[in-house]
Amino acid sequence: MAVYGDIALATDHTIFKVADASGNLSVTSEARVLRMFVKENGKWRPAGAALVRIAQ
Amino acid sequence: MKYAWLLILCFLGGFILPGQAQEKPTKGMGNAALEKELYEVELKWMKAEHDKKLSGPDSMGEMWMDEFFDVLPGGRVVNKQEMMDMMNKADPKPGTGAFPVDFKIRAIYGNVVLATDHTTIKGLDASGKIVPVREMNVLRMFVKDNGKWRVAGAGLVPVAAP
Repeated sequence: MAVYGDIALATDHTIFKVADASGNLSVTSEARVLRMFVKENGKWRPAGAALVRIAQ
Repeated sequence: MKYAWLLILCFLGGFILPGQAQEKPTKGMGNAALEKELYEVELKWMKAEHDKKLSGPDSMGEMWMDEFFDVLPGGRVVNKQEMMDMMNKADPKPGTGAFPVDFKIRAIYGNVVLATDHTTIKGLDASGKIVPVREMNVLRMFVKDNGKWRVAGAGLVPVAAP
């Protein structure tokens, strides 16, 4: 993670899941996500993201 | 008299508005000069990687912030040193490398700029011909550090060939 004043750049690992007809959850894809946040009027708000699918 | 007041308001506005603009993100329009400047920084960034320039002017070591990081196409996250090591181990042939186009500023937050481009990675095929081997949309992040634009990192998202 990098912080430049009121901008923070971060990464996470996001797992996408869906429920089938019987309600069972299954993983559909996984992504490494670059997330950007901006501190505006004292509150952190999302500025955007880039989703990179993780090779399975 | 009406025109005199209008003139005064315009005069005051000229001083007040730039201060307000610095605090709010600037969107899309009217950043042509900065877009050109940062695209030139980006091309130097690509050249530094291709030429394996680790230190000195316009090198990876100089242009990249210490907190630099890349999210690579497979999802791996690398820091500045790891990326420099990767580039240093590569064996790029003339005419190959990363070729960004369609550079666009997406947001400006003070000294931080978020931009995107479309980058084609070119390599050699079995016969030694230069061919596109990967297409990506890239999120690029820049920071103005002591008056100079430097590179904060990138997120490389593979896409199907256009």
